[in-house]
Amino acid sequence: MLELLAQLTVNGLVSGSLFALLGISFGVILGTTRTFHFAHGVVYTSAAFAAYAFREGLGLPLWLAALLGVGTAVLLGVGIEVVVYQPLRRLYASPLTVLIASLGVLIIVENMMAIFFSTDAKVMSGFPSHVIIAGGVAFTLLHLGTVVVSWVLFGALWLYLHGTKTGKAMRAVASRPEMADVVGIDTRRVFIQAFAIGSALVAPAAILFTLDKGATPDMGVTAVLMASIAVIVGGMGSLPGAALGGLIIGLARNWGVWVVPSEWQSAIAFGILVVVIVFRPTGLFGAKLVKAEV
Amino acid sequence: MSEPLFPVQYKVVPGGHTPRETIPAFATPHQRNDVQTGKGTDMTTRRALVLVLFALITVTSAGPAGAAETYRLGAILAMTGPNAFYGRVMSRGALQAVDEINAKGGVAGTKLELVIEDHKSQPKEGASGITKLIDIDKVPFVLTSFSAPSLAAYPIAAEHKVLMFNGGAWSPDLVGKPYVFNNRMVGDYLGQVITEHAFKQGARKLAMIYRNDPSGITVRDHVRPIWEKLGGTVVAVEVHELGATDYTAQLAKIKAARPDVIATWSYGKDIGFIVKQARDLGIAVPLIGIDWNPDGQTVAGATSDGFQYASDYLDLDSKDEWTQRFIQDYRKKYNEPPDFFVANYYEAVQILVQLMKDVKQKGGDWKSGEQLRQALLARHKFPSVYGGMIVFKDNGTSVKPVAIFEVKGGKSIVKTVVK
Repeated sequence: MLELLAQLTVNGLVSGSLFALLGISFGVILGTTRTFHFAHGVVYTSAAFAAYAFREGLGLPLWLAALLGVGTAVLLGVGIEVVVYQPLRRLYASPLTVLIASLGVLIIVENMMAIFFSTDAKVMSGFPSHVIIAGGVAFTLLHLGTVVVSWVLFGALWLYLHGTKTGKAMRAVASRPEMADVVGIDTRRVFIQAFAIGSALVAPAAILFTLDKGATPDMGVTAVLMASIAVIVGGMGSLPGAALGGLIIGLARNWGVWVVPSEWQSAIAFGILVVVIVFRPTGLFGAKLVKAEV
Repeated sequence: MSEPLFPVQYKVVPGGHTPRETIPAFATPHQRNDVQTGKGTDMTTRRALVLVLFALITVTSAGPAGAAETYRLGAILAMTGPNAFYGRVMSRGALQAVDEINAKGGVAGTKLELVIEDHKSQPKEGASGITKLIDIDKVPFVLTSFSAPSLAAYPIAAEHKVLMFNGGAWSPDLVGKPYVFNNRMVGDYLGQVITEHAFKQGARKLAMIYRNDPSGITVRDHVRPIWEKLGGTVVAVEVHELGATDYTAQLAKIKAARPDVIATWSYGKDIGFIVKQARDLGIAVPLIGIDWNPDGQTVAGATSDGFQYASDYLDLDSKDEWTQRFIQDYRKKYNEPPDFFVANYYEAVQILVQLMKDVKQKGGDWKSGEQLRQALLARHKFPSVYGGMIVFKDNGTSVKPVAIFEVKGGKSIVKTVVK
């Protein structure tokens, strides 16, 4: 029984780290720009498919293909901001309009990728498949890599936001957009920067997932759902909150099956979401809520 | 059209410049055009053009008078979507039979024509596909595939007395229905074959993971008492959703139960994930199942080695003359060996031809699904492309060769052939 608990904890840490990375990548965009960027899911998918195409199609080494995957994600993420969100903001579109536009982008690009790449799973090679067994608990080298990459990137983002001038500008825009504007911060540039960073962070998550489970065009929907749950559970606007939210969901999904039958696993994440929204609508680390809005 | 979900709101842009926003969101293309360009006169020209086009279509589709009448048969297959692999091979099998028969001059001088509808492995598409085949193409005979779309299509077929032939799905829910016959072995029998095999190999503690739908649940319920009667115990039963990618929690529970063998009542990509993640969790016991396909192989990669499954068996080295001719014709066209799905759909069309001949001989109407069905029940036995005869039971199932396969280096190797 103890062995099962240990195994479930390890599984939870691995998937939780990935959710945490998804959460901060989504949270940095949501926090800074107040855009509920549902199309983030398709940015995620694009990174996976670009890396796949460069790795398996052109035969590039994995690190280079992964880097190009990150580049593709940044281009698409910033492209969506410039082509879709900026014009909508100029029209003073309501958050609901922006959300629907974002959903539209997600559906269109996802289907385009399905036409181009077909819907079967794309598997990427190049990462050593090595199973590590320690005291009855098993995990792979890739799982270890997932945990390390996720938390290193979290640390890097935190340092960037707190240690650099541009990072501080992002935090300023996040906390008081009008004031930031008044003191001379170019919010338009900061928004683009937020999209670039968020997209760059979601790409490694997509590539790590693809190495483990393969890529399909519909993979982005689940990813963006998990990312938004992580952000809401952790508290909007708080990056440590988003990371912790992701980790909690990952652990809960795995620990949960210890006590409830496994067919309820997908309900666990949403269950946590409902509990948090009802009892602590600001999330674990969220700022005080002034009014509820979409 | 129903009411829009969200009323469209227009924001007045500073400066009051709003020409684009004044177009109703649900305007027809004509209206939009009128507002944007003001060229209202275009409409009359365009309408005339459309009329001419329609007239042309009606004239051409009537076809040359006196052209030979064809006999239409239908198929609802997964031509696109996540399971397009199956649609591809199944349609090829049926088409090969149709081409072969037409090359010989058709059935009593009437050529066959296959109409394929795409169900994308979705139940609702299965229902609309069969409706179109029955209402528009007036087919008396439909090849079907996949449990859920077939079950959705069945009531419509039964109402119109259209005969369905399933060569792909393995849900036992397709058994005992008067208008559907299966030339694919049903899953619970395959599950029984593979678990009995595992028992013979010395396994006593069985863990099962199954897909949460009728095809998985029925196999689970069929196998459990058989295993316990043999003297084994079921130590873990876990379930997964169709198309899931993360099975680690279920597999961790299975691992903790320490089974001798793990049975998978799933198919497609899902089994590939189960096999790979089981090995990643350090589970070393054998994995067994009732399906394996290239999609699963892609996902599992090298971890698929040793996976054993029971399935319909098409012997590529058979000495049977018909089997060999079928295999060679297929290879010539597609440059790869056919699998049993190709064979089943090829065989189903051949059985239809026999039924047509039987009905015709009796002076009946071969475009009546009911008469085709009566002919099948009168005959029961048909020559099989697998060699020998295929025998149908009254409940719609059939008996044919089944084999236990083992995956080695990404290829399925036959271990034993079961009668």
